[in-house]
Amino acid sequence: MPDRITETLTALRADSDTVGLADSGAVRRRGQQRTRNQVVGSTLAVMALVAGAVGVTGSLSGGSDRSIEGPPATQGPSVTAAPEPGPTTMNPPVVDVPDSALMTVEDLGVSGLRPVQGGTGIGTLNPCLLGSDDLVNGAASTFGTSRNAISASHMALTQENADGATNQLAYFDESLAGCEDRQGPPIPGLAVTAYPAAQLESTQARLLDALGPGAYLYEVVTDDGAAWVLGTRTANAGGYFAFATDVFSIDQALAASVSARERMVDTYGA
Amino acid sequence: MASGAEKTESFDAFYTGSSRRVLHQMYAMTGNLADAQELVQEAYARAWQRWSTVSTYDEPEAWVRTVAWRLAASRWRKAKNGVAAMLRHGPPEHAPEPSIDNVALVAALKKIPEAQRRAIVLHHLSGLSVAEVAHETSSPEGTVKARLARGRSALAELLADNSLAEVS
Repeated sequence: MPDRITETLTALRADSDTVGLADSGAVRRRGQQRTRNQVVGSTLAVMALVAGAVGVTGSLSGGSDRSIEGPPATQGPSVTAAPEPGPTTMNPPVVDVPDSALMTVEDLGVSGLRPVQGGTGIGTLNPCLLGSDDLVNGAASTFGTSRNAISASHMALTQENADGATNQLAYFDESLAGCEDRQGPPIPGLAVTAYPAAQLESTQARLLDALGPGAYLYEVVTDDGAAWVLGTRTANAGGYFAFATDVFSIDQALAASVSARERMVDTYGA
Repeated sequence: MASGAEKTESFDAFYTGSSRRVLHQMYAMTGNLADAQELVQEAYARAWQRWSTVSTYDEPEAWVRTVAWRLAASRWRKAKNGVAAMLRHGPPEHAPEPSIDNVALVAALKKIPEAQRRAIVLHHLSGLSVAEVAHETSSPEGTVKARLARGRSALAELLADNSLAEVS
């Protein structure tokens, strides 16, 4: 027999039954829109870092001195639906970004660069992160010859779960296209091409394997120049290594990304 | 692994079967029908984002209810800076009024502390045991028992109905 207080509270149903609820399809669409917005929010930060890399490599815009001639052996850009994430090894997931999860200058494998504090991108990142409810945390390390000459950036972005990190990678190009919708900076001439890492030809196949499932190489072109980004996923975190192509060869970038991913795996799990 | 169609079907069944119940519970927790409606739909949208994970939980409905409650608590905190919120979002939408029979009850619920209200709703309306309430609210059982006792007493006093304070 229900107690008196239960009877009293149950009477509220007379009110709640008068309120309409959206059908399940509308709720699912709302969830999908949230996912897209979150991905836009997180990848705007990556774009800012890419812009930092491009900003010091203006000569790349002509493409004449690129050490990377584009990803070979692909059949053109390929954007696929987000794959199902692998199991998250951390429960609850680690969402902090300790320094140990970020790339160090030793990981770069390129001489002449040093860590640069306050490099391009971090300031742009903050408002974007605050506007994204479920993007939990983010941090970056940047490298160059000076604050105004950044040649590489590594960013770790954590999500609530593996789904978020996977979607972030898979929708990277679509997200960048929507940066301005998120009150991000306008990016004239922006074009992003995604190449699944698994389709790349490389003499260093071992490195490709070490990038883990779902990794991508992105070519990001703007009116100001071009840069490349290697994106990898580890449990509930995404790792993005943006690099200037006049400083890094593709194999050097792959090796640096592998080192960075190993650091992230130590923190977040595979 | 469930196909896309199976995933959609299972979510739709879950939503259809539980959303009205969660709405009722959130209405009792917040005392505001419009807020409850928005919170419930936002919580289910988040559930759909993670459905491959949430659907494996023993109690997906508890997950949704917890998310809705956290969203409500977050909004209450933000509402403390009401001027800024008004500037960003404009004036609040008109909230449906409770029926005449429930005006006093809703007013009384709003007057008792949030934690007591949540405990009472979870225990007496959602049917959770004290241990389950303790788990869902991340509180010791003794704390939950105290919240229930104090909340019932406060409601009884506010509604001038001593029978509400009695434990069945």
